Amino acid sequence: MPVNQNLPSAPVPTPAGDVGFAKADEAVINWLAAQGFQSVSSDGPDKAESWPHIQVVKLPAGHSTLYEDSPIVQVEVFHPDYDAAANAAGVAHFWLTDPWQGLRAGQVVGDQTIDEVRGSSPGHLDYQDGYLERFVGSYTVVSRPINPL
Amino acid sequence: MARNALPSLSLSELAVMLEGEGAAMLAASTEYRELLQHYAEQGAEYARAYAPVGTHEHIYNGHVDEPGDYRDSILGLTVFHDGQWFGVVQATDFKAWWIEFGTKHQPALAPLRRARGQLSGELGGTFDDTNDVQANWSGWTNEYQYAEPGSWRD
Repeated sequence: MPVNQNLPSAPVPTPAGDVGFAKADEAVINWLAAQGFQSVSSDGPDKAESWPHIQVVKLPAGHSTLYEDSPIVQVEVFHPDYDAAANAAGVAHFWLTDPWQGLRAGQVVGDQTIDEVRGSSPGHLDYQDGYLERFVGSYTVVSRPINPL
Repeated sequence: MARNALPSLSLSELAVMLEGEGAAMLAASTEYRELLQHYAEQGAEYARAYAPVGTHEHIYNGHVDEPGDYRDSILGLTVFHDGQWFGVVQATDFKAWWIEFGTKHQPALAPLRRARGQLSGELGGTFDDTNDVQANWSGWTNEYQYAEPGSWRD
């Protein structure tokens, strides 16, 4: 798997509105976009700009307050080709869980500080779409805003 | 054993015993299994509470699917694997994957993962999907990422 060891962490712009709320799913979206994925959003693959498309789903689990957010974040990687989807899912899993270069505790993404990321490796799950292949990994991401209020 | 009655061994006692020399024997013991069975059934109750229930029956290729079939298929049990007991919460209904992870046609509701998170929080966050044998089913590990070009992994 080609991984650029010298890739600098790209600057992530601070969002204009809602500064101060803990939003772990937005931190994941911004982080994956900063690592070079072209099409990352909370939208489904029908809104994909290019392939692979990554849909970040915030599941109704974990507590969410002004100061801390700890949802289960489901990262779904879509691609028409099975192998390309598998490779992209592996790269996304690397950038989310690697203890050196991944989204580790203390990482600042936008206005979010990451406290904890844990999760299982992605696997293939049928999307009930004859055209698309999907790999799903689910992670528990704990984040808090840099400057609440 | 009555349902939801705590077995004789408490979790704190168990944690102390698991540090000792008899840990392997304890992990295969009946007391340990009773404790895991207790928490597995508790997790199954949480999952049943999160489970969606339909309003009318569906027929899939002749199979009559009644409302509550998915909820009633959730059960807590213990399995013996690799020399020790594990607690498992599972759903045997055929819609379980769709409900857990979502599809093109419906969102992911994740009743089992939510139950695991709630039980994990009640037990002090002692287990999660990182060390879950069943969750890491695809074989992906981070070791793939460290392969140098031309190494044996290529």
